[in-house]
Order: sequence, then C-alpha cells, then structure tokens
Amino acid sequence: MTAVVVGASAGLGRALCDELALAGHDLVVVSSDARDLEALAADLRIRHGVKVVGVPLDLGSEPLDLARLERAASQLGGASALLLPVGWTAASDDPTTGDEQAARLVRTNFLSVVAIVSALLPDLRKQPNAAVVGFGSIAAARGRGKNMVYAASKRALQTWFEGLRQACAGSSVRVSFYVLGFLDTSLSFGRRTPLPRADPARLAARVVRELGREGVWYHPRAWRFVGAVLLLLPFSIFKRLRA
Amino acid sequence: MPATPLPASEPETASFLSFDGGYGETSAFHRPDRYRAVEAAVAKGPVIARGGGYSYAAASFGDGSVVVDMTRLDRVLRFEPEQKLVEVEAGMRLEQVLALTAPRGLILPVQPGYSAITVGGCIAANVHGKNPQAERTFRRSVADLTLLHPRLGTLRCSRESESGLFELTCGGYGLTGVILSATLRLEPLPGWTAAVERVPIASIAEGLACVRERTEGASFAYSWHEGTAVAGAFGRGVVYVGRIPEGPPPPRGQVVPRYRRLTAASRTRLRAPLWNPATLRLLATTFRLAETLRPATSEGPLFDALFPFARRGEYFLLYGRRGLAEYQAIVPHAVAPEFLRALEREILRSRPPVAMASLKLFRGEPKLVRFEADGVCVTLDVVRSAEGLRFFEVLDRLTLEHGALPNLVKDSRLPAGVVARSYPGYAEFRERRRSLGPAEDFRSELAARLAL
Repeated sequence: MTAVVVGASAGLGRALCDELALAGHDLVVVSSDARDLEALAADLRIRHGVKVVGVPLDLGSEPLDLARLERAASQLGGASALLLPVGWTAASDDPTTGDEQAARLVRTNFLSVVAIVSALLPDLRKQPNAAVVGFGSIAAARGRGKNMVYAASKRALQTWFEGLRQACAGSSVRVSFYVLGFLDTSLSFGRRTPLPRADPARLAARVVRELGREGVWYHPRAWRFVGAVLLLLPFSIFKRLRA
Repeated sequence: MPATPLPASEPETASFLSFDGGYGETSAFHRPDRYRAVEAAVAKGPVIARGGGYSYAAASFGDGSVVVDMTRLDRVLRFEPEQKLVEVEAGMRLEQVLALTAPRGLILPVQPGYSAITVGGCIAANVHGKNPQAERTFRRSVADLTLLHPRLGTLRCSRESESGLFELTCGGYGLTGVILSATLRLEPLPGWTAAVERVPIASIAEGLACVRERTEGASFAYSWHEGTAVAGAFGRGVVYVGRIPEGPPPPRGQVVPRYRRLTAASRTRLRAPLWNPATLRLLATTFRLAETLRPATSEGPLFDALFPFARRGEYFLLYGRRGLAEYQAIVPHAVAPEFLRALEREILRSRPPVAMASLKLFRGEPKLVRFEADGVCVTLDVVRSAEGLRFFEVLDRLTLEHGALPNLVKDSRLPAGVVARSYPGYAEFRERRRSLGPAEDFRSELAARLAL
C-alpha cells in the first residue's frame, strides 16, 4: 500500500510516516521544508526499507503543483491512503489579522487540503480499499478571540469532511476525521495549555491502527467531553476563558 | 509569494539540572523539529545546544542562554554499510544508532556509559567508552560534521575542510556552534554478546596492575573498587575484562531492550540519599561479594556491557535529590602509582563518602580543552555532601600536583583555575573560540564558570 502524508516533516506528520513505514507502507511525503523533507525521506528509506518520494509543497502559497503530487503517487503504484495532518497557526490570528495572513491561514488549513483531496480522490476511488484521514482541532469547537481564522478554517474542514464522507459513502473510500486536543508538537510549543499535551507518536499509532475506519474521532478521547462542555457553556462564562 | 513562515513559537521555560544534581537553573528553551526552527533560534542568541542532558556539569544550559533542545532532530541521513559510514542528525541517541547499525554487523567504536546520550553531545564532550586505550575518543569516529553558526552560516567541517573549526568543535562543549549532523565511522561488530571475566583484587594498586596487564587484546578492561576503606586498606574490588565472542548480529527490533530511561530530573526521585557510611560499606561489600561469587566468566547481552547503567539506573537514584559528585581525571602513566598512593592516603585520612572508584587506561592526544591524553583514567563517585565536596579540594590538589587532566563534563564544581593550569591548550581554545565571533553567541554555566 502507498500512503500520501501531507504535512509530513514534523510533529504528527512525521510520527504518522514512522508508523506507516514501520507497517511496511511506501510513502509520498509532502512538506514545505525541502531540507527536512529530504532528511525525512532518507530516514524512512534507511530505517524501514520502504520506498519514499518527497514532494515539496507549500500549502500556504498558490498555485499548488498538484500534478507533481499525482505523479509521485502513481510512481509508487497509486495511493490508497491519504492522510492530511496539516496545521499552521500565526501569533497575530486575532480580530486584527490582515487579509494576507487570513488568506494564508485559510489556504493552509482548509483550501489546500480540499484541493489535494479533490485531486487524488479519483485515483483513490479506483483502489479496492482506500482511506482519507483529516485532522481538525478542538479549537474549532467554539470561536474565541485568538486563533480565529485557524479555528474557522478547521471548522470548515470538519464540515467539508462530513460532506466528503457522505459523498464517498458506498464507495471503497473510507473517510475519517480526528478532532485533536493539545498535541506535543511545535504548534503548541511555547503556549500555556490548560490540559496536558498528547504524544503525537501514540496518536499516530492509533490512526494507523484504525486506518479505514469511518467516522469522527477525538484524541485524546476525553476531548469529546471537553468539546461538549465548551459548547454548553453560557457565553457569560465562556468569554472568561483565556487559555 | 514568500514561503509560509514557521508556526509562531515562543520559547518555553523549564528547570534544568546537571546530571550530578550540582547545578540547576531555570532557562528558556526551544525544541526545534526542523532546520528552519534551529536557524531561527540560533539567530536570536545567545543559545546553547542540548542533547540528552546527561552531562554531569551544566554544559547545555545556564548563564542566561536559551537552550536549543536538539532531540527532535534525530533522523538518519545516510547509511553506507559497505563504507562503514552513517550520517545522522545530532539529536539521534546512541541506542538509535545501535538499533540501525547492529543488525548490519556494525557498531560505533566508542560508546559512553548511557544509551540515551545523543551524537551531538558525544561530539561536543568528546566522550570516551570502555576502552579508550584502544578506541581513543569519540572524535576519532567523526568523519565530518555540519555546524550552524550565526555568523558563519552552515558549514561542513572535517579534517580536510574547515579543519580548524572541526578540531575546535570536537570537545568544544557546544561553544563553537550548533552541531546539526555528523558522519560517523563504524566498525565491524563481532557478535551480540559480551564475555566478561571478573578478577577479584585486594587493593587499588593491584587493580591498576591488573588493568595494565589485561587491557591489551581485550575489548575492554576496567576496575571497580569499593569506595570505603576497610582495615586500613582502600580499593578492594573487581577488574572486568571483556571480549566480544564471534556470533550473529542481533535481529532488527531486538537491539535495544525495554528500560526506563533516566533523566537528570528523574534521577532526583528519591528525596534523601540512601548512602551513608554504613550503607556505603554494606552495599559496596555486598556487590563485591556478589560479583566474586558469580562464575569467573559469564556471557551476557552486549547492550548491558556497553551501557551498564541503562538497566541499572537505581544506582544514581541512591544519591537522592542532592545527587553525586564525580571526579574523573587522566593521570600520566609515570605518576599513576604515586597518585593512587596519595589518593589512598587522603581517603584513609579524611574518610570521605566515596561510593566507588574505577580505573581504565587511556590513550589520546591532549589538545585544546578536550579530555584525552595518555595515562590512567581515575574515576570516583562521591556522595554530594559538605564532607564529600570538601574532599574535591584535595582531589583538585592531587590533580595539579600530578599533572592530571580533569574531565570538564564530569564535575559541575570544577574551578577555572584548575582547568587553566591542567589543560595546556586552555588559552588557545579561548582565543580560537573568540575568533569565530563573540563568546556571547553560545553560553553555558560550564563556559562561564571555566571562563572558556
């Protein structure tokens, strides 16, 4: 099986690559950092003996060279799993965010993911068993005064994946979406988090174990409860939450 | 359109502690997981790179520097078994290198005592292994390294290119830049077990004679001595002589056994030390007797011989929160017997809380401030107490009187004066380091204390 991992060079993406390669899957790895991509591809090839093709792609810029990604996937016999652990935040993602940054946030966290899934979906549908895995954020549960465009993009993505799941119902493509709490990656580094950060390696092991299982899942699982509480909180209390 | 910037990342703050528990400081730190993030951290300076954090001295934090934790940069970049070369990132731990190379019948020749030490740390401290008489030090295995410096950029250094910087960086305590990656030379791994012969000895002088006699031709030979003096004599113990019998390499996935990794912070789990004059004698005697009652030669996993403390981390916990103080110095061969006699006299006179002593032979080229020379490497582990630390003043005096070379990363209280007088290359290191740029670019408590 060949898996495409977008946002592969660090954090959850790298952990997913490790798990997938450990399971013997060939990989197309996508990241904006060409140097890290090269290092990652070499590491996976050497340590796990799998085939790896790296595709440098900056999801915040346009146009995306999707043809290159499609070529890389077909070079390895066509992708049967597409995992998109994509996330980019900016310090000034508040009500004063300029349009350029807002556009980049939406493009990175939502539009590029949509574009990549759309481009690879026809080939995924040809596979007898295929999986598309998206990753959202608990930040999207309820809008707050920071990470605003990020959270909005992640909420849009969750809705879009819901649609994708319906569109793929009855086909060979299984769609799953993980809503993530705090993960111990560079996205949360340097930030005070009210709850402990989860280990990306454990999440990656779970995702690979559950590959092909449909639905919306929370990780850590307790965040489903946290998300529900956040939604139920009266605004008079919610507005005081600063973390 | 410019590339997407890195996610906004401020440094976090954490408490750092030297592994011996002697020095602690709260510092800001970054934990980059990609090259751009390392560059961004280094550009802001002053910084100091940190690997596993196993230095007994505060070499990877302190003096107001921002710590750059390199452990997320741990990828294998190149592996050429036929050429016996492996290129890895600086944050890769020795056990990860071993897991990769051992199934292919290859091994790094120099393995310091703990498996979670990183390659970057090994280079920065120019560490040694079980048999520095034959293997010398870690720098001998380094074919080249990639160094990031805020003023010089990213440089590939080797003995042929940027040789001055290469020499300064191997044993440069992270003060010449951030090591990003290194190409390491491997050696054939004969087998995956170690046959260890135990030779009981009655004194430290006997230990020295035995180590001298048995090192040649062995994979390793070192002595262990009880730290307490009994009946007017010091140094009862055991000499371990090891060899690696021919055998198949280990299967993939079975190189590194499960063990609970100890860190400088987790080492402090026990609040109070369990060492006191009575337990020091009791535990040391029990251990010695247990060792002498075992078969004279036994065979066990090579992993345990390479990293004796990986699965025996309890030893360090016994020192409690205050920790231990370690003395390690290379004593020139000619004066080693005299040094050991003087050491024995001082131990019998002041009865310091020494937990253990050890000897092994060393061969190396003393230069700059790197720990290597021809001689006998003497190690003492002492309970970190007022009495124990007072004894280090005696050890400093013995060091200077005998022209010995103290190990900078083993002693978190080592005074600058002792280092300046014992290392002939001290002034040269200071001068050459400053020629790269202001010393403020890379700072640590060790560098400040020793005025490096």
